[in-house]
Amino acid sequence: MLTGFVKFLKKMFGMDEGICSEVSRNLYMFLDGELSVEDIRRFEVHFEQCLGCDELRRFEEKLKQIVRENSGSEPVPDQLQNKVVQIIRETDC
Amino acid sequence: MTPKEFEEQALPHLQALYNMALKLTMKPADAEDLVQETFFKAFKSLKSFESGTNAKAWLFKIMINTNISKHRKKANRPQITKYDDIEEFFLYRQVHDKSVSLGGHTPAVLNRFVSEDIRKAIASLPEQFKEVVLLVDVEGFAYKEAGEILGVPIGTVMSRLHRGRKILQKLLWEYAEAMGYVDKSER
Repeated sequence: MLTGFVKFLKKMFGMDEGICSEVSRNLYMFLDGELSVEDIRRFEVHFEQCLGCDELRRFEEKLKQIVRENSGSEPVPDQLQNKVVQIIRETDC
Repeated sequence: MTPKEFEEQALPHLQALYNMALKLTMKPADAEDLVQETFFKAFKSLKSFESGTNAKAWLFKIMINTNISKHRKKANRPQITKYDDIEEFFLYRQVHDKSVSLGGHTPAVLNRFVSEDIRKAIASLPEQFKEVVLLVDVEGFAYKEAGEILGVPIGTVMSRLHRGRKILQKLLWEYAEAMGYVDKSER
């Protein structure tokens, strides 16, 4: 009963050893906003206490940001814009 | 949905659709064709679209399907096994395990990548991984939405995303080495 309680406390405070492997398993879900609010909270608490997991998280977060910002964007050519508007306004559906 | 509603809900996504089309086709002329065809098909099937649901996801789904049917003969979307053995968090492991201490900061190597490196790496991804990485990382779709767009279960979205990211990291590491972003003496 006491060990269970200690385990619970550790889990609450993000000190459970199993959480490091859980973090690396579900890190992308965390970064992609696919975890529940409780899990996000648990992960965040853990990041404050575990340097290794926090470093990995920062790296992957930064990489995701770099991919998003540098994937390339070209302005829509005028002729395409015009053709699309034409499709919408003139097509008989 | 009326044509006017369609214009209001679909047109704001033109830029995102064009960007996606460029990355899928790699040719501006083909990208323009793909976007036009997407809007044409979408407009023709207005009735199947329920107002208030996600117009962007609906348009992306039409575009992905149009692109696949166009290139099915050519590409035949082969199973990729070449990249099966890439380590988890490949880039981080390379940088972390082989360089000196990072001191808890974002490693400088990430800041050395230029836009062209990222674009080239995305362009080199096998198509089914490219699609999912673009949908989730660039367009910010949720896994569920990406699954609906691609017509696959969430589990497939996750595994493709996982593999896609590993391949992307491997490619970026190869560029980093080739371009001298990583100082070999640090390793």
